[in-house]
Order: sequence, then structure tokens, then C-alpha cells
Amino acid sequence: MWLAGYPKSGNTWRRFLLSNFISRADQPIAVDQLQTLPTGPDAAGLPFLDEWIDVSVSDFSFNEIDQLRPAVWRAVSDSRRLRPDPSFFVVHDAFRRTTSGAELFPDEVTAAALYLIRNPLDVAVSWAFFRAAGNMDAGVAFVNGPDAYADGRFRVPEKLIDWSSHVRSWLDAPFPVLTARYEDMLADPVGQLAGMAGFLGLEGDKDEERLRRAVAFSSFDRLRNEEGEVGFLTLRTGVRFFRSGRQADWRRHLSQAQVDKIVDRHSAVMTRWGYLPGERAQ
Amino acid sequence: MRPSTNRRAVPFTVDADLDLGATAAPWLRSHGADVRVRRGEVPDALPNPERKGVVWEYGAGRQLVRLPCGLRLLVEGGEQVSWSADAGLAESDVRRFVSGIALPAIALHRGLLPLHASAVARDGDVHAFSGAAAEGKSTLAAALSDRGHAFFADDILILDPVRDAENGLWCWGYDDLKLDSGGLELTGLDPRERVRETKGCNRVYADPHLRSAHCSGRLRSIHVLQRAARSPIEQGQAVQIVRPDAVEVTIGLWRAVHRPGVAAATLGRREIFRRLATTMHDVEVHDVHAFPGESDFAQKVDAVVDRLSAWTAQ
Repeated sequence: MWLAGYPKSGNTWRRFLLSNFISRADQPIAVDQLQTLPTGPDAAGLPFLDEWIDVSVSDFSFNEIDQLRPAVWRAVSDSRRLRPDPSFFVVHDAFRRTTSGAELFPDEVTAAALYLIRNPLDVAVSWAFFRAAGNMDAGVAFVNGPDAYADGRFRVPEKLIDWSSHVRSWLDAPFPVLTARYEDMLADPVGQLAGMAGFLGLEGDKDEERLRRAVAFSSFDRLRNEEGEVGFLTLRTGVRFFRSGRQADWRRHLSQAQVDKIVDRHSAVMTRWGYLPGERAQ
Repeated sequence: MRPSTNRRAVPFTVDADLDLGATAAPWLRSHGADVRVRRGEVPDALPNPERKGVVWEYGAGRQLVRLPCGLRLLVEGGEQVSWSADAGLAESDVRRFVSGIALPAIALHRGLLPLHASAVARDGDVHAFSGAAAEGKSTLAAALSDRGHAFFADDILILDPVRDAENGLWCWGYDDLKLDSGGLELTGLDPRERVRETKGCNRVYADPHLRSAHCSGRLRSIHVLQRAARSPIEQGQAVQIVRPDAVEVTIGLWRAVHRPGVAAATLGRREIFRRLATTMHDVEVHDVHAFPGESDFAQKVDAVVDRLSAWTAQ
């Protein structure tokens, strides 16, 4: 089960929502427990790949690891075929083929995918603050591609292509895909979580109290406050992972020229999802 | 008690048809070696493999490894390594995987236990650092080499699980120090040469500030490097070194085994735990909780130096 989405689209918030729902705990899952969430590991993380390839992937190039990743999924699937519960994997890659031409996410080991989509104007702003010290041109380049990657020191690069291509790739995937808009999750998190849980076949998807508790446990303010107290993953540099989470933050940070660059490139997909400025205020 | 000098310098000797690097020199013999490494015929698959992984299969005492770079390795028992490579693959690439895959597999067959760890040594006592990928094992060992602890091993530490009444648990290193750009920056070391010629492989060999004069020593402690996010850290305290309970020690040591899937296929889990059992009794295990990367690195080095100094003073 793939939990897919372009980076800075609310993927981590969704992980906490689903994890708090699945865990049914009386206490929220702490922000520093990201690596052990019930929604699975970071599928591009070096520890995960090291464990499954059983060779130090630090010795491999991107192309070499890329060729091995479909086999990793098959090995994971084989090892869990007797388990009734789904296994979740968080991925940022576009639904694409590897450098050797194989499907990166093989159909035969896939049950379904949850795809999270967010206004690319806000994705650009969020990325700019997260990885480019507020340089909005870098944020624009990140969503416009065409060779955008999600990378980091502790993970292999994930190839995104660009925002539109990423969206199209996942919506054209040959297995069931439930798409959720980040903006709809902000407006109705309980309803959206119920929809995701129902799609995944998770028990309790009609349990209003359980859904509301999971939403409360995963509130942006709580995640942000905890990040301030204990840090989040490796980020001790003053950069916030949970920065704003706001909808339409782009209006405060992008120039008209920067907006135009993104809209010119992605207008078709933005129109389809109601993100064109002026058409539907997002 | 300090180790005597009559313990074998290396657990097995190697006759290889390629350059395995200067740090492997004590292991190398041109004649009469225990292990032969040769270019030769390597099959595409093993007949009736007992276990298979993503890049390997195992059966009847033979391990076949097929790597996406075009290198294939066949390890037969504890004596023979055959390799074949696609045209154009650099010898440095072959060296990396013979060192990192084939020789630890040989060690498994010879009754030893390879650990995925870096290590430093002082006065013949070896202190190892294990942990998941990218936790900073090599970088920490490199940094400690500037603080009076000689670099001893990177990536692979070969452990003899049979306790010696006089010397305790003996271990060996042979693999050279390898760092990425972040590790170079943190340690101030200069790159010597690329580990692999293949484009996109950016680790380099580097010379530590201080290198152990011996490739063998008595294993005294294993520090398991863990991301702080896995364990709550008191506010303001960037690094914690704690002694785990027995269950955590077992888990930590299991995770320190080099290529645990292959080890389990080769030996069975029970035999691995049997080999680990003596380690649990004779070696101090500590968990080091810190944020990986640059932000708290200096504090992590200080904390480990303090810990090792305290141990030496015992």
C-alpha cells in the first residue's frame, strides 16, 4: 500500500493521522516516533534499503539502487504474504519506470495507493522555506522540474519529474488510487480520514469518536509544538519541518512572475484539481 | 590484562588477483593462502537455492551475489571466491565488493562472525561502533582518530566468537576508511581516492589522523549508534550514552551482524545467536542516542571520548 505524494504536500501529517487512527492509543504518537509509525518506514531511507537489499547501499549509485528497488518490493511482499493487514510504504517518487525500464512499483505486489495532492503554489513556498532558506525561485524550480528529486543525506534520491507529471503518473497507475486534496483535509480532516480508512479497509472507519481523536492527536499545532521541544528527525538547524501548514500561503510569498511560471507549466492539472488562482480561491 | 602477542595476526590469509588495498596487506599471501580470490566462471543462478535475497542466493554452502553494476561473486565455503564483471567495470569497484561482501561471507564459513561496524583501538583494546546506514559509524571512528584513538576498521569487523581464556574476544579489521562529503567536512580529512569509479558513487577513501599499527585486538565495547528520534532525549542534552537492558543488548548485537539475512541463510539464526552469546558476556554494549549529521557531532565525539576514557581508567 503506497502512501504517495509530492514532498511538502502534507504527507507526514497524513502519516500521523493514519497512525494515530490505527494505533487506537490513549495518547498521541510522539513526533519523534516517525521512524516506527504503523504507516510504515520511509521507503527511500537507507536503513530500510540496507536491510532489504542486505548489502550496504552506500556503495551503490542512484541508477544501481533504482534497478534494485522493484525487487525490494517483491521481497517485502513475499515476506508478508501471510499477513492479513496491509503494509504501508511512504513514497515520493513519481509512478515511473526504473533506469532499466521496469515498473518501480510493481503492479503484482500493490494493493492500492493513497495519493495526496496540494496546490503547487503552496508546495513551492513550503519547499522554499524547508530547503532553500526562503528562496522562492528555488521553490518554483522544485515544482516545475523537469528533473526534481526529493533527496537527503539519509535516503536515496526519489525522482519526482515535476508536479504535473507526478500527479498524472499516480492517477494513471494500474491499481486503485484514492486521491485526497490537502486543502480538503484541512477543511474536513475527520471526513477525509474516514474516507481513507474506508478505502484501505481499516476497521473503525465509521467510528466518529476514534476518527476525531486521531485528528486531535495529529493536529498541526501539536506536531509543530513537539517539533520545537524535541526536534524532528535530523533537523536541528533551526529549520522547521512543520512550519505553517496554511492554505494559500503562496499569496504572501510568491511574486506574480513566480505564480505565472508555475501556472504556465501546470495549468491543466491545476484546473482539474481547482487550483488555478481566481478560479477557486485556494 | 593486555593481550599477549602470540594470538594470530589474522584469522585467515588471502591470495587475491586484485589489489585489496594497503589496509588488507596483513591478510595477503601470494602462496599457500587459506582463501583464493580469482576471476573466473560465475553462474547466473544456483541450482535449487535454499534461500534467496534481492541480490543473493544461497545453497549447499555456496553464495551467489549479482550486483547491478555487472559484478557477480561466487563464494564457496570458506576457501574460494570467484568473480566476473561486465567489461569496463573498474577494478576499484570489484575491490569494494570483494572486501565488503565476499570476505565477510568467507569469515562466516570459517566460524567467525562479521559485524557491520567501524572501530578504533587503543593499547590493543578495540571499541566498535555499529548502527544503521548513515548513522555516522565511519565518521565517528575518523573523528576519534584525532582524539588519541587509532582508526582500526571500517564497515566490517571480524569477530572470533570463541572466547580465549587469556585474551577474551579477539577481532580483526581490514577495510579502509570511507567517507562521504559530509564525513569529510566533519572530520577535516582530505579525500585520497574514490571508492568506486562508477558515476554517482561519491564515497572516498581517506587517511585517518591516526591508524592502528595492528589489524587485530581485543574487542572491549560496542557502541550502537541510534538516532535520537528513537528515544526521548532530555531537552538540552544532545547526546546520551546508556547501558541497555539484556533484551536491548540482544537486539542491538543482532542488528550489528553484517548482512544478517545472508548470515541467517548461511548459519541459521540459532548459530548466530550462539556466536553472539559470548559477545554479550565479554563486551560492554552501550547505546549512543544522538542526532546524526553535523548539528551535534562535536558533542557526540566528546561524549564517546569521555566514555572510552572512563573505560580505560577502570
